Amino acid sequence: MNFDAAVWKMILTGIWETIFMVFGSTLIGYLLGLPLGVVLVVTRKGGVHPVPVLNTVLGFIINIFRSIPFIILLIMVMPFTRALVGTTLGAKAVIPPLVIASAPYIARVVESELAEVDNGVIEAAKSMGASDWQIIYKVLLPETKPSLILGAALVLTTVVGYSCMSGFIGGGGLGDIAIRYGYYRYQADIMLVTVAILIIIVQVIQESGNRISLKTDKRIR
Amino acid sequence: MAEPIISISHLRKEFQGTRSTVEAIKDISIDVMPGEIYGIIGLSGAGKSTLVRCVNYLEKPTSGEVIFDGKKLSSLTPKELRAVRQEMGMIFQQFQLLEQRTALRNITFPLEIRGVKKNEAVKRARELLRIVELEDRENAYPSQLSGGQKQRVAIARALATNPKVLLCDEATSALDPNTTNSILGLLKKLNRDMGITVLVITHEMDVISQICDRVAIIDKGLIAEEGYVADIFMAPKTKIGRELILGDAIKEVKFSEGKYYRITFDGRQSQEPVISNIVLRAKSPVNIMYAQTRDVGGIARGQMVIQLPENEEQQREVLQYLRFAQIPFDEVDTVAGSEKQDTEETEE
Repeated sequence: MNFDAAVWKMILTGIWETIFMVFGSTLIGYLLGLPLGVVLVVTRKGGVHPVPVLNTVLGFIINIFRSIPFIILLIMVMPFTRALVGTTLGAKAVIPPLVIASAPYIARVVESELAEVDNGVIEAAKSMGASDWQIIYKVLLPETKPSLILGAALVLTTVVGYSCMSGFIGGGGLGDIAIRYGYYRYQADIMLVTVAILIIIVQVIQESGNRISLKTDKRIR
Repeated sequence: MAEPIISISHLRKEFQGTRSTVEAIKDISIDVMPGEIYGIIGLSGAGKSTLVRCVNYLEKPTSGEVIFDGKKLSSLTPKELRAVRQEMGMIFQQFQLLEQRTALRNITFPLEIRGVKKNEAVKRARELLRIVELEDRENAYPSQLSGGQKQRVAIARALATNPKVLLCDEATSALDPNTTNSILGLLKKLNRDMGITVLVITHEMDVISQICDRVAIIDKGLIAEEGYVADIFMAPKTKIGRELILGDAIKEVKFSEGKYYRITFDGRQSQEPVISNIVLRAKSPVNIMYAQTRDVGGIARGQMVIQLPENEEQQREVLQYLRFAQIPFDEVDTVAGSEKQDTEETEE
């Protein structure tokens, strides 16, 4: 019998590690990606404060990061990870690569959400004497709050997938368990249980995102 | 003579397209006096929306000057310009309310920008909601309001900072006729009670005739004619002026061969049976193609399009009578007569 107390304890730890990795790295990812997304929208041609050169350069850099397959990125950033957290193993060590992968993705997601705001509304805010900065934090961000929440759910579910991939380099969490038991030890039952838990985690994140988004949206009544 | 509150001089605005440059405004000069309701009318593409955006520098003119309340807008720093914009409220065709804010918080928005304390802003917003007669909807979101109510909230928002001027960009074009009338009534009331200067941009002659004191007719980036609304309504000098005043009438009437004249009445001729006299005089029936009354500056004025008899002698008789009876008239440019040279038209 595979499922003794030790296995369940391991799975529980895995759940905790996955949640820690996913939410921790997404949170840091947003600290970087949200401002980047704002900059992308604001500086684009026809934006609130067009700076085409900055926009093109930033877009190019973001595209480079988004082109690197996550599994390769994991290996590429190992020296950086070691320097930063002292190890390349475990849940903590996966956070730097997850942040590096998610921040550019978040920037693009945020960019497309903020672009939803009607130019006419921005023009109206300008006509009332709003500064660029006031347009960002009083118009762009609050007006797209429901979309930003949905976007965060999308990012979180994507990062769940990434975090599992990190199991291949001993990253910890449910992905690590699934790979170790299912791939290296042919214990399909443990793998299936972890996958089932991952499915539940993704469902819960997506469903919560949908509900919170709908609840905060004042457009639909 | 008072100083104009808005003085636009030799304004020109070009837009750089990918392939060509579009000259939206060629050379426009307008003086708007404090306390008046000034209308700018033109067909779509005439440049009127660009013009109003140049007034608060949402669009920077290519050349020319806008002077607002003695301040040359081109010489202001971005910060000074934002301060000036708070003295000019603006409302739009599509209202442009913040969808995630209640009516009350939409109105406090320009006050927040200005840095007014929250409870003061709320107090002022409630006061404005009362003025626009929406005091019971302060917690409603825009999606819960009708078009007319949204525009009322937008007007309250535009007035929050106590501006000297209210810019209206096609403010009633998305509204049904009844709602349009109530919004126009509100603008008129605000002008009368608060003394706010109103600059109205529209393509509808009804809007101009109902509330404006003076009007400029814009065509292809130039002023075709300008003057008091009543004068222009009674005797438009340009083809575009006549077209706008006749409005949709010209499309409703099926013109065939013949001469068509538009005659106008301002109520003074009510003692005289004009049409009967025309018929008696010319000894030939005239055909009434179209008739309408409009409220111009609070006075009912009528306009009528008649088809003259075919005989030239009889036509002369009719026109002579109209001149004698002092009834303003002008020939209608029908499709059949459109090749006629229009000497008064603005130079290209």
